[in-house]
Amino acid sequence: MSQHSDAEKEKPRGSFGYSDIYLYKFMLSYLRPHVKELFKIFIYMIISAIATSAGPIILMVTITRFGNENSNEIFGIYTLDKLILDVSRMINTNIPSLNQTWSEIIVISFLYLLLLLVILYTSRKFMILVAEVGLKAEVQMRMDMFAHLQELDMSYHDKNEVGRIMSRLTSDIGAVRELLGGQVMTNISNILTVIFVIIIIIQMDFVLSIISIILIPLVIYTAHVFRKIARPKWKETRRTNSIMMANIGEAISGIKVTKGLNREQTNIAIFQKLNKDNFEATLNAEDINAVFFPLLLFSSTLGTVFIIIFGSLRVIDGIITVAALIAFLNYNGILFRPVINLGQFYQQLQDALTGAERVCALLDTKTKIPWNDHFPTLPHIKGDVVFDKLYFEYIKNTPVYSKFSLFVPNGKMIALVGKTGAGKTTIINILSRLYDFQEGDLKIDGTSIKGVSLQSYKSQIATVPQDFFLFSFSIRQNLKLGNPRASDEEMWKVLDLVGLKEFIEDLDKGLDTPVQERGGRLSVGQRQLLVFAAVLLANPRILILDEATSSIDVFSELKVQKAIKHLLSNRTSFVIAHRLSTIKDADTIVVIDQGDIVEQGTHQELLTIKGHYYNLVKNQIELSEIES
Amino acid sequence: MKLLIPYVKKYKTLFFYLNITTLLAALSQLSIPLIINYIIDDLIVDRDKKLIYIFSFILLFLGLMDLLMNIVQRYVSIRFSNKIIYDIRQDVFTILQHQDLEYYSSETVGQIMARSIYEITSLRDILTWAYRITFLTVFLFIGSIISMFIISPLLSMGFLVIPPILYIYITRSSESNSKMFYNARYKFGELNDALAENLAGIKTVKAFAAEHEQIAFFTQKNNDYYYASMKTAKVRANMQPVIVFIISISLFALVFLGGYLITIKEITIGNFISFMLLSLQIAIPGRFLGWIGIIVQESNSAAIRLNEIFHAPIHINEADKPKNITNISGKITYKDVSFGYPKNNHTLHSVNLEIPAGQKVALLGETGSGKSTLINLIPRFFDPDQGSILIDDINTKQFSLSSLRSHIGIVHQEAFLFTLSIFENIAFGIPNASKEDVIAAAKAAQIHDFIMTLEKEYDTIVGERGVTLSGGQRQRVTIARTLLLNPKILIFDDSVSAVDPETESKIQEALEQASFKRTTLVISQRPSSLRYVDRIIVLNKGRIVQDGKHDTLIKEVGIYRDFINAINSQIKFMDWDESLTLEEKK
Repeated sequence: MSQHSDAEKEKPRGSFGYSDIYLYKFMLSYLRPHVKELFKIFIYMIISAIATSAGPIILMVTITRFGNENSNEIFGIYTLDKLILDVSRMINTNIPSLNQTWSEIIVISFLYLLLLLVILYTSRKFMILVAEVGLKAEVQMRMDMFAHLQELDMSYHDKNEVGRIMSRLTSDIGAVRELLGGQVMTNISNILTVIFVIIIIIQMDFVLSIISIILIPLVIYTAHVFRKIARPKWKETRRTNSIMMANIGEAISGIKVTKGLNREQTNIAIFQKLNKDNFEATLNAEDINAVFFPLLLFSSTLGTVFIIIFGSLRVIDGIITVAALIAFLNYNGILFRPVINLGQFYQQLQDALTGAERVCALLDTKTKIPWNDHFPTLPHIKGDVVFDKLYFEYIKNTPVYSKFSLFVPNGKMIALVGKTGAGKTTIINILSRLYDFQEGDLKIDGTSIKGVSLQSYKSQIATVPQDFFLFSFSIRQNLKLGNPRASDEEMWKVLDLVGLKEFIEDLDKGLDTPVQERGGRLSVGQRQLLVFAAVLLANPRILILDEATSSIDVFSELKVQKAIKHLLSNRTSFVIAHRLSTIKDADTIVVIDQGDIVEQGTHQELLTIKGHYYNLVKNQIELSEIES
Repeated sequence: MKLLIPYVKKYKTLFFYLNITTLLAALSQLSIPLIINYIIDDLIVDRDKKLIYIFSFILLFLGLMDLLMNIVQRYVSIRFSNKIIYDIRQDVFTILQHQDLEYYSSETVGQIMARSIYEITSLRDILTWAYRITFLTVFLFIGSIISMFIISPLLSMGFLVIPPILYIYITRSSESNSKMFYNARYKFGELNDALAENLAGIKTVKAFAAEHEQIAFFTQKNNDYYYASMKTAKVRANMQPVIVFIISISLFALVFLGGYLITIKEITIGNFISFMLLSLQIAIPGRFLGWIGIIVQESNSAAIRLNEIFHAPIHINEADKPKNITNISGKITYKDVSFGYPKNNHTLHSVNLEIPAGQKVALLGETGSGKSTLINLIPRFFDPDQGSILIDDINTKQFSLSSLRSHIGIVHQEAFLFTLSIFENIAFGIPNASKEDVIAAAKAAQIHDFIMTLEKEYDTIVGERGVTLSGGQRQRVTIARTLLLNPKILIFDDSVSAVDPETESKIQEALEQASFKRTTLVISQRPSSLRYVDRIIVLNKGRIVQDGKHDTLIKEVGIYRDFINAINSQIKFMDWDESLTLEEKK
């Protein structure tokens, strides 16, 4: 079972050569379309911060009223006090039966309620807007990456595993989203709140505020240190986890082998070890939190205790009022949460930068075969194909072809023949523009392929690859791969041509049957026929069949041969097949060996010269003989 | 949640400590405001500064106690929850390993993965913190309320109106909320599926120039995800500020009422402040209560899905006293065997067949004629619905599964290799096999020479995450894997269907050698497989229609002759005879 992790192959941060400034700019560029929302967020942020920090003052004033004490001189509070007094006197003159204190308190409660409603409204709006902006940035970034992935040529996809690419579009984008859609805004709002609160408490009583002012950086620093210690441990947890997951995946897909070989117990033992590794790594990481969070709670308690002790002393000495002491306690509570968040911000920033860096690296990977949508479109072609001294290599300096030339007149059928690894598929990959050639030229109807828009060329050429792939959605949608605008009638027509019509008509859901659903599950041969049908819908001028019939059994092959005849008529076609009977009728058979055309001619011609082709045929016929 | 009960029982000591430490943490947390009550009254009301040092010391001590209890409590909780998660995982994996193939044919890999991974993960939340926080909150709540009542019953009455409102608000919204959160996760899953499929089929996409359609499709999924997530963001935005609002209102009610009670000298300032601190203490974990509602909902649905794994019916049962039969000769008998996959029509109709030990049999027939089913019954991957299968005249159901399967070597159609070294892959069935044995098996499978050309030879990691081997090479590794077992019965399930002629002849050679002195069943569409068999059995629609040697079958009108004719017509197609005659003419 897999005991290896994809994550181990990840490049560390900084190895892509982007500066932090560049990455910040990159991330912020996804916020640019939302300037209006950002402005609103900023406004809500300020209002909410002010309202939050003003709450305890109002509570203080209330207590002052009850205690009939005079409040300390804090900025604005006299005005507030005066305002409250004025309004309450006004009420009093109108309703004389009301006690002066009570009318004051009613005014204050009204004010407080108003404040709470403002906080409720603004923070709700703030949260929704922030989430919206973040999600929009995430969705856009993912879309950009997806579109880019579609344009990237096969040389990229060959080198990068699906799992790795997937984590670019999920967890890496996720890290950026968390920063843009939450952490940045929340932390700015946190900073604002902290600043407002500090200003207020300094005004209330400088000496007492020192307690908070000392505690804040301490808490921020502790949070930062802990996060730093915890990070590698969490990474280890994730690593062991991904190994375990991969193991489960393989255990499930290889269950038949496991059962056949009585291997269950060993598998369970291996899994137990991986499970244990993950268990231990998780404990390691979580134990840090077990110390960290209580420590934070403790520091908050410590703050409360110090404020009570020193505050009480100052109340006795008559420097502050009891109401102010209570307000201090409230502020201590308000400061606590934002301060912890601030302490973790730095590492969150690092995570986002790491994510952004990988996203950037993907987006900056240049495709060798750009879509060139702005190039002239290739007009409707006849299908003359010219390979003109092509040079091609997968790996640097190991050419597969150094000077490949071939002329194929339109409407002809070309068969490519040769041993495994001779380079047949490479020719086809070049022709279907999955890989780019390095030198030479490929001309269709005399037009160089690099000078036209890719889409206009590809819509006139179709490939049935060796490892054909059907999407898990319905038969109809798979057919639409060939022609998105095909009508049901056209679909039934091509299904009839390939001999699938009756089978699909008998399915309960007909064309809407998902191709992988049990009951409606298609056999290998039927899947292949479905691909043929999609190709017929595409009606390309140039057709490529790469080992298209190799997985079809002998019984079905005769049926398929008919479908293939339909496929091949009226277009230029390139066929690779192990079963040489498929290619016998080719107009030209091209035998390729070690990057060169070694023989070229019709079936009869090539048999007569008794070269490579003769030997291939002989070999195959020997295999077909039952008595040897 | 019944699912968790046996696990909790298993770790009842830890569970006990968890509850005790939570209780102690709650107590120490509660005691601080009460002490503060005295400090303030003594200091402020009595204006007695001398006591301050004593109280500072007590407070500091309580604070440290609180710190300690909190750390211990979390420490215990981490162990408790992770041990349970570990156990559940292990149990799920064990069950999955022992589950029969019928289960795997009714569930997709994705679904099984989702159950064994994500469902357990969502149970994790409830174990790691939801339980602890709930328990702590309940303790704090009860403790605070008692303390509050002791301080001032009147004030408590006024204050206690708030929690029920909070409770109603949270429970009212949590059910529909959990659906939303589930929906958002589901949409994210769909997005992932679309992405994975696109990347896996990127070649097809490019071959059909379907990139733009794929982008449109993905945009749809991406947008679905956006809208589903926005809904949860709105839930969050409604939930958190409202809870803060409720808490603030209750705080204000407290100040309002408390202030009044102070003026009428019903309570002291110390009472009031400790009252306020107590209420703040409930408020902090109270914020989480909303989430806990959601988590409980999620865990419930996760537990239900996990239970489906735990209670999936097992179709392949061992006999009460299974026999460990170590030596067999390899005779196979089918007695009136019928079989139908669930939901499908019968794939086998009362098949009777006897294969003497050491005979080599080829099974022939169209896709779906029942060939694979026939061989899958031998190692009891499935049990027949009717009839029985005997090996050496002993019903396979009397064998212990492991002894039965140890006699049977299967080379599957798809050459599945694990992400392990080649050595470990070959030794997959016998993990403690010696190097010599592994090499001998590799040589017999004609893959040794190739392995030696690799940089790390037998230590080369292959499989999904390792070095890519060609189809033929993979197939030969799986043949070596099977040969290492030295089985008496050998089954080749269409092992050469998708390889080129050159590779085919190599594999064929390996198979031929492997079948020496073994009862061998071969499913194949290739004539090359028919060469070394003693007997050919032709299946059609779940029935044996022809049975015999090539020489006799070729004379009968039937599928076999059609098959041979099809092959011969292919050869004719090649004009081989003509070219030979051409040659002779020269």
